[in-house]
Amino acid sequence: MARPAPRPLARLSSIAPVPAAGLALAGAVLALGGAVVLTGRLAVSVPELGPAGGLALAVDPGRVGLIAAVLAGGAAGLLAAPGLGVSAVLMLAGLIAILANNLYTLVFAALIVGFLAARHRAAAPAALAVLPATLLAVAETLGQPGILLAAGAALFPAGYLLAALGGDLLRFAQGAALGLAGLALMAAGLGDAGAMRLALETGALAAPALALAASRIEDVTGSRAPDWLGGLARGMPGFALCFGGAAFWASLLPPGPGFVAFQGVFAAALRAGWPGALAAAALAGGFALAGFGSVGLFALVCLGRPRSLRAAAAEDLPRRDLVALGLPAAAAAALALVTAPFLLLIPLGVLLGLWRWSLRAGPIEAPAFEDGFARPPAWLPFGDPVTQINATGFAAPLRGAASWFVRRVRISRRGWRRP
Amino acid sequence: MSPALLASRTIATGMNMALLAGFAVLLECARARLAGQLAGAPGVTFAQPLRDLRRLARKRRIRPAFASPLHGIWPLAALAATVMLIVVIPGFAAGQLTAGRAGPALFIGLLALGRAMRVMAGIDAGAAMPGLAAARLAASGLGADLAWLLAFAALAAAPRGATPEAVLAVLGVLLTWPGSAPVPGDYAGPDRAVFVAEAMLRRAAALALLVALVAPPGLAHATAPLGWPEGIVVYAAKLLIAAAVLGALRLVLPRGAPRTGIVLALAALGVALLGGVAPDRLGLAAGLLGVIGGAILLWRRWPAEEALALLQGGAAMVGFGLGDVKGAITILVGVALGRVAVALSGAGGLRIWAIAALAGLPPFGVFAGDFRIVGAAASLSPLLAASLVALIGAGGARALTAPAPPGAESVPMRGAAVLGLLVLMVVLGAAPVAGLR
Repeated sequence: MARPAPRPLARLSSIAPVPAAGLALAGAVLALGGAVVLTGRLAVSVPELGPAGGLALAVDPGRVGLIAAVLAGGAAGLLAAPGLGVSAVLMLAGLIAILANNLYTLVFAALIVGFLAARHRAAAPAALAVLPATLLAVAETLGQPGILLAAGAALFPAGYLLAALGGDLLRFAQGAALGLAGLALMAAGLGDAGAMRLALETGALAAPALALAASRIEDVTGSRAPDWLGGLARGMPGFALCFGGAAFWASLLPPGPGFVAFQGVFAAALRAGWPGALAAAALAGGFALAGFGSVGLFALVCLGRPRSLRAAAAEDLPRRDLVALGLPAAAAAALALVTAPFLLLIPLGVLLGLWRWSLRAGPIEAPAFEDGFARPPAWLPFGDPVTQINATGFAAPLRGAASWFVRRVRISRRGWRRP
Repeated sequence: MSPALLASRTIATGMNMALLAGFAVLLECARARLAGQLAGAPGVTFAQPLRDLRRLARKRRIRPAFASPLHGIWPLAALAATVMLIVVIPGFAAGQLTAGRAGPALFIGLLALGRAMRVMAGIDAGAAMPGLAAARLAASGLGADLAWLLAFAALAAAPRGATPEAVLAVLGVLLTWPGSAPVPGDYAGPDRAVFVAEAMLRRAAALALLVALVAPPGLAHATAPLGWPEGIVVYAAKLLIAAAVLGALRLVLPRGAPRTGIVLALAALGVALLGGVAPDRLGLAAGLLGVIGGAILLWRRWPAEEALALLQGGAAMVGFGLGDVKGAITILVGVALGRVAVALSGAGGLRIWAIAALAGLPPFGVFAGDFRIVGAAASLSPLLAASLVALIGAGGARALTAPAPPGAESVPMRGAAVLGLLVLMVVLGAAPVAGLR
């Protein structure tokens, strides 16, 4: 029996995320154009439209980068969320609310976006783009630098610890978003507005891409756990490139914009007396964890041998998903080019020069030495998975320290002993 | 900025890069020669590392079967990151071209970037041992990044010229200092050559960073070329002294103790925040921690020579804290000699004598130093003296009864050298420095 054709309204709602993504992307391009053309602050106020002083939209030349990043990250999230339906329009409204110069509108948009993300799994990436920026704008209006610094000092290492503990790609994306929001909070607490915007921009671009990657890889391989992935760079080169880019920008390693933000916040912390010294300790912990977690995650997901048959047989994503994944990663690369051109171009030049030299003699493939392990049986065509390092083993030093701490805490409290 | 000034700053930056590259090669040649001598492999000429590099660069590139298409990129990216580090690192002259752009975070970030490429390279082929080595490298790098950044924060928070904070911070950095950057196991030919060259540059850059941390002021300025020769000589001397001191400290400090390093860097930050403490009290506290830590490591069956080095190093710190500098220096010199003697003796019959010398048994020099320090401690507090005697005695007994590690091999023709070192340690006990003639 032939399936009935979908009703026009349902058909319209199913394609709604695509025009919403297009509008968000156009907004990002407009914002960037505004950065070139705009000489002063552009503000539009419509008091008749809302409470608490009315709806006021403001485009500040200093904030256009953040607006463009949030819109680009959100556009990527919407583009890869066909199941979102008409909720995509609400999400678009939440994205545009970043323009608002009004506490009421920002809180309203954050609540709507948070509700959508809790209801639809597909809305989570776009929410990761908009929520930190919106909530930080709210926090900034409170005007308590000490509280912002303390909150950031707790959130930055905690977020990246969550990311580095491994086990789940989505948790990594959430941890990176939390960590970068913490870095932005610390920058706000130390009064470094440029670093705060850069940290937020990095989060708005990298976190949605990482969350999208987690969602797509679960669709393709049936698991988000790096323990069951591996070797995706051979079967899914496009995905590996985009995912590697996003993980690299989230790793806070140079020359990424996140690193430039970290550098600014660290320098500000060293100048800020004893609160700054305490903040520097938190910054050191977060930075070390960010590099450890991101590098390990990319290596364990995309390099090495596949650890499951589905990972071995995985094929690259459709073009729309690749565009959605690649757009924020490419935007972050452009941001890195703008914020730290020398830091990006000098190593890149050295790398390309050396690559040209190394291309003279192409490699020959050789079977890998198995370190003395027995030859794998025929039903393990990619070798025995237990002989290579996995995510659980990689994060073992962190897990060991964390479990030691938890054990001590539990033993020290009366009546809260382990069974 | 005028074109002449710009050219002058550019030339100074280029000269600094060349100086560091030359220093890296020199250091590697000296290291290989010394390592060959220590391992009983005569015939390692001074230029052997360069010859090895040239041979490797001429070979055919090999890619393991399961490696990704990015396999050849990792060594090049690691080298690019380290070259960038050499470009931005402060050198013999102030006001180099990159002076305004560089800072502690950038140095540590670039070191971390180069290490990240090594980790990727180790995991890429999917082999067991290189993957395990990469995971260990990432974990030790986490500790190193943390210790470096905490040390910078401690030095920024401490008042200018605060010695205890600086000593604690530098000790923290040294304890987390990774040994030699390993070349990932699946690399051969030119890729391996690039990794080896990168490791050489990386070692020199890390030493230059340590010099920038401890003795930053330069004599020359990039816009005054007449002062460059003097600046270069002083800077080269600083690098050489740092390399020698680091090499000597590696004999005394236990290897692979990143947690202790992080704790020390945190302690430096804490001391700086508390407004500083008197060096003698700090020495006493740190020394007691070292003695107790060494005894615990011995109890947990660590390699005896490393645990004894920590224990005796702690006793020396107690000596510094009590004002007995002669006794402390006697112990430190004795520990360095004893570590070399243990390394040379391998699993031979002289090993037990070398361990006895390191444990502070008479008639060796370490005993003389320990005796002086326990005497000084008794004048302050009998309880302190009794604790020191108990800990050193128990540690020595444990070390003497511990079996030799399974990897140790007996190296032939080394007996004379070990005997010579043991005699030197006996003489050290009677030397004027110990003051016990």
